Amino acid sequence: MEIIFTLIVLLVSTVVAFGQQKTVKPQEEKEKRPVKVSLLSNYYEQDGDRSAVNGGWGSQKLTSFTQEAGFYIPVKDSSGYKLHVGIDHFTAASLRMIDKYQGPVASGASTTIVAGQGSSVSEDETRYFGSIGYDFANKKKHSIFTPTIGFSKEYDVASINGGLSFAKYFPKKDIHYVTALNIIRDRWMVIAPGEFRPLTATDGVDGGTGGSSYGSGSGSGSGSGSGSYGGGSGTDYYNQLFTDANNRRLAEPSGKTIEKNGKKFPVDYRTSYSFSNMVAFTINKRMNAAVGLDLVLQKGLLSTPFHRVYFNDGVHVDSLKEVRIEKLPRERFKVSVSGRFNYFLTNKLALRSQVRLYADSWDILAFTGTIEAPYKVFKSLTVTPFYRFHKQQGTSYYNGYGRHESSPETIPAGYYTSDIDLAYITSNKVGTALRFVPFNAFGISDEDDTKKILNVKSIGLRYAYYKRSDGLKANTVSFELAFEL
Amino acid sequence: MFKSKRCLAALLLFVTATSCESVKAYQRQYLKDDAMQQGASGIEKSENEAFSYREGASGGDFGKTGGGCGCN
Repeated sequence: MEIIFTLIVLLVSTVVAFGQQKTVKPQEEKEKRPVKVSLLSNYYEQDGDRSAVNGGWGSQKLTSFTQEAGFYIPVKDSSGYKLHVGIDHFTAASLRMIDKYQGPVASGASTTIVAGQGSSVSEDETRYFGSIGYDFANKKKHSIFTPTIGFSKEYDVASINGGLSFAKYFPKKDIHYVTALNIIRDRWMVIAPGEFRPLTATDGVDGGTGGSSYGSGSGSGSGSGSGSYGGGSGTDYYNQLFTDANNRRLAEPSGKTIEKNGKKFPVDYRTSYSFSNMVAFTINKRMNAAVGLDLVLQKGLLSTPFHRVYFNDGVHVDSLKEVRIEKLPRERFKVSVSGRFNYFLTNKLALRSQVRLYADSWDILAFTGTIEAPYKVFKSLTVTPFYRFHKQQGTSYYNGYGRHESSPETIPAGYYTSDIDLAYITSNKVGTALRFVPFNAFGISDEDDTKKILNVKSIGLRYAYYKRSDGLKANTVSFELAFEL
Repeated sequence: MFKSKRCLAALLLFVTATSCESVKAYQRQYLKDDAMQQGASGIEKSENEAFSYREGASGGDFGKTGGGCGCN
């Protein structure tokens, strides 16, 4: 798949390069702008032991490998197409725990959980994504208007997105203003943990056993569990996604299903609206700054269907413990304010800083601060050490493994999650970036060696180490090659 | 806990109190440097996306707000 993707990138680059040469008239060569290409690769790995799939404990081991390509194809004046494609392949130990029970569980029997050896519902852990936009530039008014559409597809989530952005430069004041509106529509294939789905081959909304290890119904809507919390049907646990904290119905299920590998899964949706603004201005010949305000509204399925929540029932055996599917509100409003400040201290050393304040309707408050120090070792080589600090106050819906208050109700009132990402955490990230910018033309020349047909603009390498207060650790390495055709 | 109001006030004070001087085109050699560009570079965005899944306070800063992440 990676070879095919690389071939597609090379093919598009070649077609565009030859296309530009065929259509340019001699008198327009002065104004010819090159096609810009950026190739990105990112490797990410993490490890921790607070997996939300297992209710707040268990391996969070994950690796991800992403390849992206961005193209800017100029058309006329300052206008042009923007194309972005990518592929993301990942492996996550916790995905194996969605169906961690090896088979049907008899009433009263305990089941040995073999960590990481449960079956994987998702057999294809690859995400494909892309977007295309067009810059409508107006040189006289110093403005660019850009509509964009995009998509993202992985095993259980398919997304489409659309956006409009507007950038304006005020030359007298030397101020840049950028605003963007984006809408993302996700379609989720609702995959509940295995014990919450019917035990027959046709999983889905047709009833079946409840989420108890004592469940013993059939897959035709007549399930009758008798677990420590009264059991319930598969439909009950699916319908909880559409209720509020008092179990009042907020929305109706779509009624749609998706069939994968002979199994049916119900469908739910999430819509995200974001409105972003940034004003950048020059202070003096060595300093500039920017302030930003961003608003996000999310509606629909905001919990993760295969996250478990264990309750404080005094039982210590995991397979017998009271358990539910994570339940979170179907609406979330986020606001963030940020400020950036850049200062060229000496002829070789600069300082880049950013501060961000965040708050949302789930009671999460956060502060993030980043500082970078780009240092020009040579004219063409810059080394940038950086540090990032993050602190967040978690949502009141969060509690750790087995800490939520026990309830006899099939669907307890309130919202509950054991996803540590939504809890009180602090994190530190340190790293270094190298960036090589050729001082002279560097690349592939034509046959006569009179001009470059591929001109390397920059090569970048970036490494970061991340550590979180709950013990999660991560490493990431990124590589970028930018060139012009 | 975060003294968020104080941080916000400090940010606004900085913006309003900082005086901006007019910079001529021939004086912009530092401002044109990549180190002085506002916003994250492509390589930085790619790295930030991986970490944004690990913090509940993500989104709303030109970053990811929706879509599946494929990550747990």
